[in-house]
Amino acid sequence: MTSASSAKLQVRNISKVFETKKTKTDVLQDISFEVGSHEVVCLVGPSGCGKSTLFNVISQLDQPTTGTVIHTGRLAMMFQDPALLPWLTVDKNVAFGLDRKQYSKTEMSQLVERYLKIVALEQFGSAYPHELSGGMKQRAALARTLIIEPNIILMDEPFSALDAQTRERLQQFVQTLLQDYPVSIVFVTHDVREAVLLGDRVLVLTKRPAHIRSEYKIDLPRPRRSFDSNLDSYIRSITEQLQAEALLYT
Amino acid sequence: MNKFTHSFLKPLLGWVGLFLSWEIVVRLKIWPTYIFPSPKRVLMVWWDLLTSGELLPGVFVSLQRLGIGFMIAVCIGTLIGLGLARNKNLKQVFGGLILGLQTLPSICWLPLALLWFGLNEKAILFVVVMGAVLSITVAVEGAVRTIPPMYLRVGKMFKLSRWNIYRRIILPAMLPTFVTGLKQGWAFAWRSLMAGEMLFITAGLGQLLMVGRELNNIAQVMAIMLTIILLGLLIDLLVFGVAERHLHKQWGYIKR
Repeated sequence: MTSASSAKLQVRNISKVFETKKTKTDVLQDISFEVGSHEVVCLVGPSGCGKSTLFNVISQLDQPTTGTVIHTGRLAMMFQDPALLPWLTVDKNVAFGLDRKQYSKTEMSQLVERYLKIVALEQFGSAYPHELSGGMKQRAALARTLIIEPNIILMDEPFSALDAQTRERLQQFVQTLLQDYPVSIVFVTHDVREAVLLGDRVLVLTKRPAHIRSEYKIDLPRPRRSFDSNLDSYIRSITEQLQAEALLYT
Repeated sequence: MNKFTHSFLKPLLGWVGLFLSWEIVVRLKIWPTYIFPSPKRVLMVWWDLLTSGELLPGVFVSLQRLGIGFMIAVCIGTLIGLGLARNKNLKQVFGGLILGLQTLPSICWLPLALLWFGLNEKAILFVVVMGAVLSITVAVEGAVRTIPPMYLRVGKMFKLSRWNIYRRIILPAMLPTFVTGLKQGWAFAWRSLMAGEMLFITAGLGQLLMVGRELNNIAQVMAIMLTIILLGLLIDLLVFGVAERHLHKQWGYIKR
C-alpha cells in the first residue's frame, strides 16, 4: 500500500553527524521509510535518541549529512510549543501562513472562520494567545497548520505538554480529522499508547545513533479510543522493544 | 479606588513629603534663603517665569531639539542594531567599539561638535543624537538577539522571505524590549540636551538654568530643575508608559 508511486514522503538513507572540533557524534544512521497518502506514521524511540533531529531533517529545518528527503505537496509542521505569535490575535495567528497575494481579505476571514470552527475556537478569534489555555493554544496552532491545506503534517510531540484530559481530546480530534481530510501525518512521540492509538504504522527507533529497530503495522479499526483493550498487545510489545533498547550498551 | 490609590495618591504622598521636608529645612534656618529658598518662593518664581513668557519658549525649543535628535537617533540606532544582531561579522568587528563608545559621556562630543559644526543648532543636535544613538543600538541588538527562536521557526515553517521575516516576525517580536530601549535612549538624549544647552548658550531650558546661576537666582535654578524633572516624568508616563502598558497587556505580561 505504500508503493513508491503513492508515497507522499520518502526518507532515504538519512544519516546525521554532529561535528565539533574535537568530537563527532553520530545521531542518525541510515534511516529510510515512506509515508503513503492518507497514512499516519508514528516514530517512537528512547529519549535522547535523536527523534527531534530526525524531525528537523524531515521538515527541512536542518540538513542531513547524507541521504535525501523527498515529498510531494505542501508540508506543514507542529511542535510541542504551539508557537503562536503573542502580538497577534488568534484570527491573525491562524491566517499567518496564508499567502496574502492569493486571497482577498474577505476570503481570508472566511477561511479563518471555517478553520476556527473546525478546532472549536470560533468564539476566540479576537482573543490574544495568552488568554487561551494550553489545549486551546495547541488547537489554534492546529488551525494555523490546517488552513494552508497541507498534504503532509509533521508533528513533533504536539500534545506532550498538555494534561491527560486535553491530550485525549486532541487525540480524538486528530482521528476525526483523518476521516475528513486526506492528509498524511508523521507523528513523533515518546508515548507508546499515543503512537498505537494514532498510527497506521509505528516505527521504533534505537538509541543513538538512531536507526529503525522495528516496524509495527497497527491493524485496528478507527476511531480508536486510548482505553481500547486491543491496543494493549501492541503497546506491550513496543514497550518491551524500547526497554530492551534502553538496556543495551548500558 | 485601588487603582486611584496606587497610581495617584501614593505618588502624591512622595511629592508632598518632599515639599514638607524642604519647608522644614528652610524653617530651621540653617542656610540663608538666598542659598536655600523656600518651596513657596520657588513656586512663585516658577509662576513668574511662566507668565512672563520666558519658560514656555524655552520648553518648546528644548523639546523640539529633543524630538528631532531623538528621532534621528532612533532611525540610525535601529538600523545599526538590526545589522549587528543579524550579522555575526558586523557584531564581531564593531560590537566592542560600540560598547566602548557607549561608555563615553555624550557631553564629551560637544567640543568636537563645536569644531565641526560651529556655534549652532547642528552642534547641539549632534550631541543629542550621539547621546542616544548608541544606547538605542545596544538595546535593539539585544532585543533582536533575545527573540525566542520558536518565533523565527514559525517564519521558516511558512517559508517567509527574508524581508517578511523582518517585517512580520522580528520587528513585532522585539517591540516590548525595543520600547524599553527607546525609553532608556530618550533619557540619555534628554540628559545630553540639558548638558549641551548649559555649556553652549542658546535658548532652551539649559540656558534658563544658567541665567538663573548668573543672576544668583537660586529660586530660578530650582524652578527650572523642577520643570526638567516634571517634563521627564510626563514624557516617561504619557509616551513610553502608555506604549509599554499596551504591549504588556497584549502579550499578557500583566493581567487586564
